[in-house]
Amino acid sequence: MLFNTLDFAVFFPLVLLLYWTVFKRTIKLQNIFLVVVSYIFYSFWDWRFLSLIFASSLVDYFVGQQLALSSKKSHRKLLLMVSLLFNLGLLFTFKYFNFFVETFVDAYSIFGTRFNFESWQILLPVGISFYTFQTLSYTIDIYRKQIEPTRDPVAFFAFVSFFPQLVAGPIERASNLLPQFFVERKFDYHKSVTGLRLILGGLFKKMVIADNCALYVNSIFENYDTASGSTLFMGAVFFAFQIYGDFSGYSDIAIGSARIMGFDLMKNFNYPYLAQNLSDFWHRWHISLSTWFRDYVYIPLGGSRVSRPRLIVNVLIVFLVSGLWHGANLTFVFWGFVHALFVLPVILFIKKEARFRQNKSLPSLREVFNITSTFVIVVLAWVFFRAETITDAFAYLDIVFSSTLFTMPNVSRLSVLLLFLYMVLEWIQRNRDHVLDLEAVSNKYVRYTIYYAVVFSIFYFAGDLQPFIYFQF
Amino acid sequence: MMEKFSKKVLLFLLPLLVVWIIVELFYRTVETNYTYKNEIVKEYYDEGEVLIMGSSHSFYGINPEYFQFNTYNFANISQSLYFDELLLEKHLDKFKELKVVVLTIGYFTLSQEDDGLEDRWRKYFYDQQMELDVPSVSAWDMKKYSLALTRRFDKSVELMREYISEGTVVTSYPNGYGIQDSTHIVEDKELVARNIAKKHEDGSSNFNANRLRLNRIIERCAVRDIKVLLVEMPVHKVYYNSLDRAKRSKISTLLRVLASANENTTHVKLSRDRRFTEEDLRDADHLTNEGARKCSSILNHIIWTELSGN
Repeated sequence: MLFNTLDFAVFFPLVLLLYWTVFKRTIKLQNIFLVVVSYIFYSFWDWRFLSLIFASSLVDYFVGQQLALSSKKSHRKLLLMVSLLFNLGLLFTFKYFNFFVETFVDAYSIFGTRFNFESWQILLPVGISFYTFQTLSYTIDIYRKQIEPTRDPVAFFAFVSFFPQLVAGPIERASNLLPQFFVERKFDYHKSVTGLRLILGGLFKKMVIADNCALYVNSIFENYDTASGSTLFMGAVFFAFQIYGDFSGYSDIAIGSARIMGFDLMKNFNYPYLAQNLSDFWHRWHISLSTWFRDYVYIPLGGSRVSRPRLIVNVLIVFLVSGLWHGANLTFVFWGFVHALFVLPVILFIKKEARFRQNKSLPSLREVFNITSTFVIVVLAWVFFRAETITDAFAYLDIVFSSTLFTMPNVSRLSVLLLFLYMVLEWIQRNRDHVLDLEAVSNKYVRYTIYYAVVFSIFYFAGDLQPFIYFQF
Repeated sequence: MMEKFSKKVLLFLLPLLVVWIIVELFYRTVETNYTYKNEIVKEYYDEGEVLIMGSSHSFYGINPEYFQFNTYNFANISQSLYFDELLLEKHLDKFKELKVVVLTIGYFTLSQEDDGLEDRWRKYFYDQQMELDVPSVSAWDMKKYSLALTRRFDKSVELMREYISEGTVVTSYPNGYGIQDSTHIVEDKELVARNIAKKHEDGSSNFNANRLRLNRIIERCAVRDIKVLLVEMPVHKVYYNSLDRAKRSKISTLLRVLASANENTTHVKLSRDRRFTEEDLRDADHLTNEGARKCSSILNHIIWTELSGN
């Protein structure tokens, strides 16, 4: 079930109604209800894959229980391995099997032998990369003795399958989300209003920005060999906004929906295209994933408290794995590599956290330069993310960096202007929770005018329905 | 608190509800190509001899005016074989004098999925306005009960505007042929042809479902001694050459095989027929009125030959 469909428009109010009336008597009842509706939500894609969520929850629930009982280091390690092998095994089987075998066959063909291998037709279960990472964080945290395991299987199953964030995050930590399943949830008017604003803003980002950009992106990337460098550059810019609107829109709807149900999910995006360098970008983009890799990959590797060569290796590993997490294709790995190349100088030489000057309505020239240069790097890196193959990506960039870069791009100028205006809006709202955070607007007529303008835009200017990009991951 | 929240949300949604009712009323009361064709086709039940099915290629490409037989163009924009079959299932046996069914087969016709993403909204119009029992429309699907929810809002507004300015949204003549004029002719046909060829490339050469569907249609027609003409319509040279050659040839081969295996079936390949010039095409794969006249005359002659046994 997609958030921007009629199905969800009926499903969610119904769930809310039952959740806050029939099932509000006890937390236990509410949690059981959440598991049931989350499984129904997921089954709209493919009910067969519910078994994977169930199995993953079951394994990690029992691993958690056993970890609490055991004090023997080797036994605890073994239990952690069970959880890791099971979850990563699922991920490997469903997501990476073909990729690794094909890469192996290709690599081996260098020696003159070509194995016969026909790719298996393996369906990718929606959200597998998200919920496996979420449940893994639970067992790892228990192993590290950072959290206590839960004895309540219903709460744990609800934590793994919580429908607002089940298929595309934010990837929650047990330390943040799980305790919320044990606290009495009371309907909070103010929280619900902010939740609705998040949903409205998310729908706008997805349906107006992302889905309209998708039309240009598809057309430009499919015909890149006949377009000018400037048009291709703008194609990559449109993709930057498509993927941002798509993913951050989804996250906003997820966070907003959870908020109306009394849950606080972590922030996943913080105006990433206002980042002043690549390191800053990764503090603002897909925060739940970047902090996951920081806590469970980068820091265990030694983090930044190691020698410089080792630090470089650590950063490269994190970004290459992060690229691979996005998909079983070398394009994603290369995308991660490009980011690593530009993050490394910041970590090695700048170190200071990027901040905006306080109480200034306009950015300084230096900030404008930083934001623009970071944005250009991010945009060019997106070419690898969007291209079908590495060869296509390089061919695309080859045209971008030709003399035709300095010609007039063949794209809608109005669309470019609107995207720029949207960025101005983000700049104005940069210190607020989200772009439609209207806490500062005291006049309710102004607020409602803005709401209706957004609703009208969604209905009138929405692009053709496109699947959420991050569902494929 | 919950009550206050619910009241405010409902109040906020009230104007949207009004808009939805207006759009729904529009679709339920105004005549569209679907309701129009669904009514007119009944007038051909007694004397109709030739029935033309298919997508925009036949809607704008075959004009019954140039047939010496009583002919009705039952084609519609984006009408796939899936809907051709459903329409024939419903109407075929009601035609008392039907002799020929013309089916146009484009590059994407045979690989088209039954419930593809593109133009998915149309299935609800076939279901509601052509009174078809469309299997891909589930009884649980809310759009089955509200046409206003099937299309993008801006498209509905566009249609309402057209209705206000033109007084109708029907774009077909009474004989079913699509209304078109010189404004439909594109300037740079070669560029359009290349782009459309890419758009039509669905990457699939799996014809199984539609091959079976064609077989079923042919068999159904054979029972009534009705001939079937499988027509590959004229297209732009650049479009033709931009298509995947293997798939193109697979389509023609399949149609040839069907024609040789079934006595009541004839394959007519006009894709690159030299009788058509660039001026006969309005874009990559649609004919102009003049092109349609030529095509209709050719088909009429073939039908005449087939029926007279010459």
